Amino acid sequence: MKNILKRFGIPAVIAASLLVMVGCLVSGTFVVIADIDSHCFTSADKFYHYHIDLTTESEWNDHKDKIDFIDAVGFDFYMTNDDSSDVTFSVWIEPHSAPIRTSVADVEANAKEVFTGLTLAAGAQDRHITYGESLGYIKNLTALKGVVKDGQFNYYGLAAGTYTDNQVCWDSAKAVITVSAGN
Amino acid sequence: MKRILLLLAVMLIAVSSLSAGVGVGAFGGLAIPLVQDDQDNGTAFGLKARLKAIPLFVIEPYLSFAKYGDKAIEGLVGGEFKGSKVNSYGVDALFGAPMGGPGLKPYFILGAGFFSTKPDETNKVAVDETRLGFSGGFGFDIGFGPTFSLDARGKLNVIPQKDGGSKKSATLTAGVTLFLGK
Repeated sequence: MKNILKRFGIPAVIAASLLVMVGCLVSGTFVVIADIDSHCFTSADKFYHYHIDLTTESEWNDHKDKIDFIDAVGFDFYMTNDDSSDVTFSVWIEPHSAPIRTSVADVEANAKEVFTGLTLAAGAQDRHITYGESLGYIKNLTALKGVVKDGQFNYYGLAAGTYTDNQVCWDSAKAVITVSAGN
Repeated sequence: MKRILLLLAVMLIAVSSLSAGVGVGAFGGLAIPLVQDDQDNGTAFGLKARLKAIPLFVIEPYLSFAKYGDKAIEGLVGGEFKGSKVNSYGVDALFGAPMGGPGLKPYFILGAGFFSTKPDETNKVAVDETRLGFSGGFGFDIGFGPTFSLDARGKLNVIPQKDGGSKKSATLTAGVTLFLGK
């Protein structure tokens, strides 16, 4: 027996350890991408609401009950400013359960700003904000991750500045969420 | 950084004090993220020492520097996740590994170390922390005389995360070891 243990014991321990490690492979990092509707801002409202629902995404649903944490959140979108003044764009979010805000003041008083400082120059056409670039504008990351983890949340895009209706638009927008979860 | 310097000092002390029977070497190869949809294959390289422990195995302190590749985000024009850097240091136990000598000698690997995962500097939102992780795998040495050997190995690395789950990767490397004091 001693000889058997001596001969096969250590390889058996190694093999068992590897099996346990391989068993851990069922967890991993997954990417969920959610579309956000396009929108042109009006001079009266200057904000835009969209209900982001990750639960309609198959990748989210595959892992939603075993999410360990949200790794990262970013955005990818295009913006156009056909007016003659610069516009500053920001994103605010609130949990799905919160009431839908009805004005910029209402958003700023209740929601959390998570994307800030993007200036869109006058005359900018289809300015592409890539995922990587968007990460530089993210703030309040902990709050953002907490809200995203619920799977649904209220999204507000605010375009501050002087412009006429339908001159400032954003389109082809996506929220890119990286999730660590079980399989 | 302090811990890396400390480990280097320990390795130097070990080499100088145990020169009657130590190996020193370097390795390089592939770093392969496993079940990480936001990372692509990259490179790994590092330094190692080999010290005789007991007749059945040797121990191998190491320093490793890995960089994953950038991963394109499906469906986004120009969108990509930047590859993270994973620096690690630790100790592997090599069961059946030689301390020099000619011939082909396979061995098993079990180890533990500290893994520091740093996102690319443009990615300010990803996790940046050092975690204790565990490794296991297989390898073999090809000895060319008593003082020189080449080796190849595959290792699976599992790094448990603070909030649950784990990050996994594999490394496929080739290396060279010079045995001192032979």
